[in-house]
Amino acid sequence: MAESKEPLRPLVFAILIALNEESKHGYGIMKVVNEQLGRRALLGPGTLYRTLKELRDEGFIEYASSPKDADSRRRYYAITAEGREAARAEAARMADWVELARRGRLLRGGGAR
Amino acid sequence: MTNGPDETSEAVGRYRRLLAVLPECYRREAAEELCQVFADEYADARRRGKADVGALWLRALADTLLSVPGAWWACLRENGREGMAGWMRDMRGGFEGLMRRPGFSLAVTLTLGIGIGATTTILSVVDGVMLRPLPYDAASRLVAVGATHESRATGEGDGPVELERLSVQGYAAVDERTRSFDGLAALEPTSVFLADAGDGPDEVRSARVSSELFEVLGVSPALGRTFLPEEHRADAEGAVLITYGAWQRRYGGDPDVVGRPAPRFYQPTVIVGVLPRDFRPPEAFFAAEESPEFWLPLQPEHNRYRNPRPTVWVIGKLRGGTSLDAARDEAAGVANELSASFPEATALPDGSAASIGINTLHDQTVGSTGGALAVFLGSAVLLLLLASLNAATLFLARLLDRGPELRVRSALGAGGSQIARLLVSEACAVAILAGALGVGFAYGGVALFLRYAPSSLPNLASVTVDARVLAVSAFLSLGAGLLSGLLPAFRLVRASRGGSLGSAHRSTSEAMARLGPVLVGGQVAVAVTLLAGASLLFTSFTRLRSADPGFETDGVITLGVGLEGAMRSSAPGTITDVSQAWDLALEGIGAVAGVEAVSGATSLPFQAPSWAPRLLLDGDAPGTWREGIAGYAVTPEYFSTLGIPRLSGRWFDRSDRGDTEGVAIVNRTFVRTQLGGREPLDLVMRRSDAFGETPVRIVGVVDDVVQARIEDGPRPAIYVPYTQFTGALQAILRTSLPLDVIAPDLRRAVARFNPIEPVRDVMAMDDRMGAARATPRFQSALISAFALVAVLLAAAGLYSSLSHWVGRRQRELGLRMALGADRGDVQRMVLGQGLGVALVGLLLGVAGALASGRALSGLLYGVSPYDPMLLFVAGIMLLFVAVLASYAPARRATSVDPVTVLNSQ
Repeated sequence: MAESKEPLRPLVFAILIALNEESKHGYGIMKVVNEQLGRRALLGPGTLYRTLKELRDEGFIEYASSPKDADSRRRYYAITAEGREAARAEAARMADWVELARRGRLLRGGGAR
Repeated sequence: MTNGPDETSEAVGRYRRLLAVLPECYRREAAEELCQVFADEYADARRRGKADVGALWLRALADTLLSVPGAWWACLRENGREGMAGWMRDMRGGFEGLMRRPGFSLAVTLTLGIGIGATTTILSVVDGVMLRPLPYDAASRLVAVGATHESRATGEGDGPVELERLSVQGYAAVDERTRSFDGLAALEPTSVFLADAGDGPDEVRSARVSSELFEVLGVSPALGRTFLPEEHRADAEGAVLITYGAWQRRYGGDPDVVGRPAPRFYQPTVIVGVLPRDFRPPEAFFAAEESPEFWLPLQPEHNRYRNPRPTVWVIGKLRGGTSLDAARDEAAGVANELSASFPEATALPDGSAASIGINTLHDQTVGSTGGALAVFLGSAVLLLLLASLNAATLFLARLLDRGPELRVRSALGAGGSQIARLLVSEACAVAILAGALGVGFAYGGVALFLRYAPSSLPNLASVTVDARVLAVSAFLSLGAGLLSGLLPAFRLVRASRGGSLGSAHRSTSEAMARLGPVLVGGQVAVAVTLLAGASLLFTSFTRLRSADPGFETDGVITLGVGLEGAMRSSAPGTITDVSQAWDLALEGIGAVAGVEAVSGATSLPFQAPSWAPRLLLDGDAPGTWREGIAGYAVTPEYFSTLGIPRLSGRWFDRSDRGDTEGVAIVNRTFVRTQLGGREPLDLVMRRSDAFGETPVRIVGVVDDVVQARIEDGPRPAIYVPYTQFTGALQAILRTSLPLDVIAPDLRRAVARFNPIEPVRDVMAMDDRMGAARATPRFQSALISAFALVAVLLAAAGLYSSLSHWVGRRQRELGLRMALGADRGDVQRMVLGQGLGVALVGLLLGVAGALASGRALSGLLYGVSPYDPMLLFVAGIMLLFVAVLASYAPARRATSVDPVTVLNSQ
């Protein structure tokens, strides 16, 4: 599903970013994402499960093997190459906007890219 | 924290049971992971404290309920029919369970259905009246622009300001000098008179509008076109746009109507277009039942000879990105510029100084109806709460009765969670049935509401039971049904862990039996709150009805008479001034057989005063005009026709003419509020209005008469002779004949004098008074209906709970009687049980009533929202009902033979 030219939902984007660092289990994802977005985007286990399932169906994430020291009952998720590609495209799209905003004098110039 | 892991696993177990509301196929796949995430969350929340654990549970509940539709969908899609089968089987089991206990099922479904129906009805009304955008393009950008009192031009906070019509010059200035608007349109309600088609001349509600109006509202005609610029000139030939309704009714839906001369207009007029069927005139300016049929081009010069300072309503469309505040600031700035160069441009219709204010069109339309609707909605939600408590009582009693059945199931190998699923399925089945019933009630309720609602409520045309409201009520039914059904089920399953179901049921029974009184007490509390509110509104309404309007209403008939037609159709020179024309008109009416007295006035009681002169008393600093005083121009017979008592001084008479000294009669409240103890008679004041400034001398004092509404209380008023003020009069007559007998004669008499304009609004004063009371009557009736249902439900809850208690205690009661307790003791014991619960509920309910008093205070007349006597009466009424509800169970407790009871077990 590489034709994801559609912008990603902030929630999806946040999950992909969270998983890009390292694979995580469900609650780990929930904590990081809610913190990142600054609101309860993932209300509870049901919402989380639904969103992760959606991402699995899209091929953006997959089950990962648990780390050695981890509780074997927890299921771990990892980002796929496709997921990384989609997140990257989204980040680039946003960077383009930032550039546009800068040219339109909405933002001060300089800054890292 | 030695019990840490234990507590967590217990919580997870509870959560797992909550997941029973999800279809089985979904659970099979997801349950383990959901529980694991929940366990992690729980462990974290527990470390942070009790409050976080509570919040987590609430979140988990919402999260799970929200997951239900998605889970269904996933099962349907992935596993097809098979995956659903388990759930369907559960549901079928649930419905079958209900069928086996029709009495229980009917009671609980009906109870919840009533609560859901009431809430859905009121939600539909609130949605249509307040929440739905107005039916125009870019409705959120539409604003009303008008004259307003200077100090309030920018509004207090973001709230709406009180607007009046703006002068035509003010409108032009705002149009020219501001940049906040994409378009500004002016409109003026008016009437068109059609020539006699056999049954007398016809008056048609109409509007004169500037050409921008249709663009601003985003309306294009269904047929034809809107107005051309040249059609707004005073000398232009008449052009008219007709509404879809007028097209159908008056022109038979003729497809070639455009371009046709409109028949029966007094001046040549061509129909240039037909407005679309769904067009609704802005209700901010036209009440729904006064909706204009004919739309004419506004001709700013048109009415100059009749009104030297024409005023219009103004609708604007904010430019995209312009905020209301920015537009307000800009308009206030324009008003400031004008106040130096051209003060009349922004003056209020009564001539007082003003600024230019802006409201959103939505605020201007909805006005102050929010308060009453909030009370309705609050009452409906209380009723739903009560219904849920009642249903929970029924579910609880049912569970307690089911001991044997559940023991059998358990013996056949059913585990705790399977039993719980059975109970959940039944609760779901109840929720579905109750939801369907509630929606049915809501359709009926909305129809009833629309039929009886006072027409002062705006946007009623938007009130329907629509998908959004249905979604909310589906959520409500699921929530109410599941909560009331699940509460007992959870308790049972929790107790069943580690032991047999039979013992679990027994221990649950004990715990749940203690829960019963809490549920019933809650119902009583809610019922008391509603009953107290209803008695307040009802008392307020009866006080309003018995309040003295200050005059004799019996046998008084009022009618509107136009002069323009008379002056136009009379021979030149016969009518030289307006007051002479009035003399002729009133003379004609007075000559009708059965008329005992006749007079005229610019405004009537139960009507908003149309004139508000500003006054300056001797000793007032120059320029400090007194405002807000109602002005009435009346004929000398006005006071005697209405039977208004005189307190001192003299009446007006025929010697008070336009060329004699200016005189005035004031009312009691004027003397009290304006004169500060000074002797009113012979006091000279300066009177100022749109026509100029004149000195007037007070020659008499009369008693107070109601102005627009009795609720407003006594207000200051000043009366002047009709010869000393130019304004349209309405005729007031006293007769002993009924309205429908004398009305045709009145019409004929006026038609002789004025063949062009028909008589308007022939109405008995009693009907006028009734119409003024329609809103409080409706409010009181609606809340009383809610309260009645609430009391009945609470009584039913008390009754069933007590009956159940008696049933379970039969052995104990039998033993007591066998040991010599007499019947009275046992009856007192049962009654005491019922009354104890009722009393606790009553105390809570009184607290609730006091808390809700504030919300009601805006709707009350002549009664305090905290009236102790009314609270007391509401409490006594409820205790009486509680005694009634407890009586039958108490009787039953003593009706059994102790020997039989003891032998039976």
